[in-house]
Amino acid sequence: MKKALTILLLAVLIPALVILGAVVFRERFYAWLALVIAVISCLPLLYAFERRDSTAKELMVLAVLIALSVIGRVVFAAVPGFKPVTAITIIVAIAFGGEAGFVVGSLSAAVSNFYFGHGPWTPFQMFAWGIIGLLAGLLAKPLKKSRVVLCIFGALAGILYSVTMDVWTVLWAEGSFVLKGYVAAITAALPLTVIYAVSNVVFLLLLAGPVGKKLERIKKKDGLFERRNDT
Amino acid sequence: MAYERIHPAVLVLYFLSVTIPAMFSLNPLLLIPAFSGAVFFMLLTEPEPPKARTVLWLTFLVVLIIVINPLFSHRGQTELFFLNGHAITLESLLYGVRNAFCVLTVLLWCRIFNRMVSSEKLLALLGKTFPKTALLLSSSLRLVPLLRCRASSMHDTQQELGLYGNGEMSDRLTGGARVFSMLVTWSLDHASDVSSSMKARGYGLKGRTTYSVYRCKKRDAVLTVLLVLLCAGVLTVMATGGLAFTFYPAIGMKHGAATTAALILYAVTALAAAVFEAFEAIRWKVRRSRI
Repeated sequence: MKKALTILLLAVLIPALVILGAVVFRERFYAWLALVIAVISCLPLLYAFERRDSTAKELMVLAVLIALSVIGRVVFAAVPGFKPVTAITIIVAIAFGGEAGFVVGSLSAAVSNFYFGHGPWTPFQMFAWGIIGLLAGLLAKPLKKSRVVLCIFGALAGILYSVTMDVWTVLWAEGSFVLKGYVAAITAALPLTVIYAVSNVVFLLLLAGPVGKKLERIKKKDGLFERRNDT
Repeated sequence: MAYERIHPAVLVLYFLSVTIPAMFSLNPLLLIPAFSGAVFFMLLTEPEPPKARTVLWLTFLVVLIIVINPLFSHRGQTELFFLNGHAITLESLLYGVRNAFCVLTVLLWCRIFNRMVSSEKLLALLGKTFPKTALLLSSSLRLVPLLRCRASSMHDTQQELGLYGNGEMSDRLTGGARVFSMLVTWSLDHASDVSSSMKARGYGLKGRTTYSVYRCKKRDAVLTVLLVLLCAGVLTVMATGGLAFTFYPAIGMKHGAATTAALILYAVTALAAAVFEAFEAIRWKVRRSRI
């Protein structure tokens, strides 16, 4: 009963929100649409995670990994602009699968914003980091095999994150999606994008080995996330 | 603060019904009550005045958004002057001002939201539909300060041992990575212990219920109904175009009874929190003076 209700709610809620935007928020429909898409693309994935049986151990390991990626910002505070959230999300996704990667990526954004302040950007960060985790999980095999592929993926993830966040910046500050404004925003954020991409590569090179090994070990030892990798 | 006694779900609903019209309607008249409502509420509830750095940053943001828009958008009738052969128009300047104040207002309301709906309230709300997500959020919120403490003690130890200097970037990075790797080992072990203890206490067994300290009272129900009515009024007028506002090519807005009514309804919504706080503060003073 409860399950059916939740599915019905999602099935009604999603079109309802889009139609509401088209009718009520005509003037800023694109900004509304972007926000709604960011929120509702997180919901089904989190919902799938809720439905799955998970042991207490799996949950606690995920909680620790989320806390670690938030704390990484403090550990590496000596190096400006370097945030290991993306790298940790990718490493977790490679070891534990895409769903775990999505959960760690998106909830890291939610938790760190309790410290840095929530805003309309929170769903976009959750979406961007979550999708990076999901993709890394899907590409786990080639990423595990070759360091070069891993580095390229890390750099691309940095660019993907920056470009996704810029969509929101432009929609929010400009009101409508003007290509000229978007290009300008991407250009203005270029140094930041480069830092993201470079720091992802550096973190992956530094951490993928030792941290990945530890995650593989605990996975084997406690039999974590086993069903997850089959699917 | 008086808002502490209101059910968190009502607080979230209130936040949404103030911010969504302000964010997604172009009408700048909505921003006046939204902005002043936020400022009054903060004056009443913030324990200390804002830091100079925050004010400076917000001012910078506002100026940036105002300046950027006329540089990229050359639509509008009234030309002010020409820059590199492009017209800088009054309309696009005003559009920039409106956007800047929209961003500023929403930022202020987000700050209020962070204060009003603490992490534990949000978790209590999430707990019913997303119990695992809520558990993950609440445990990692607890782990963050713990891990921070452990990381800094390891960092200090390593530094005392002379393992990392404060010199080069590469040195700092590899040192950070070493501390981080140790932190991973330590905290994964910790996760193991905690999960054993959770299992011993029956986590995941059937028939267990969760306890919530937030009870829905009669006042919360009344407030919800009022908020839904106010919000429905504003949204209906928005849907029929009553709050439409155009910047290009010339500034213009709709007039009429519906527009005025929607503006009044929205102003009531946006100022309600500040009025409620002020009322409760006065009532408290009066009651105390009677003792």
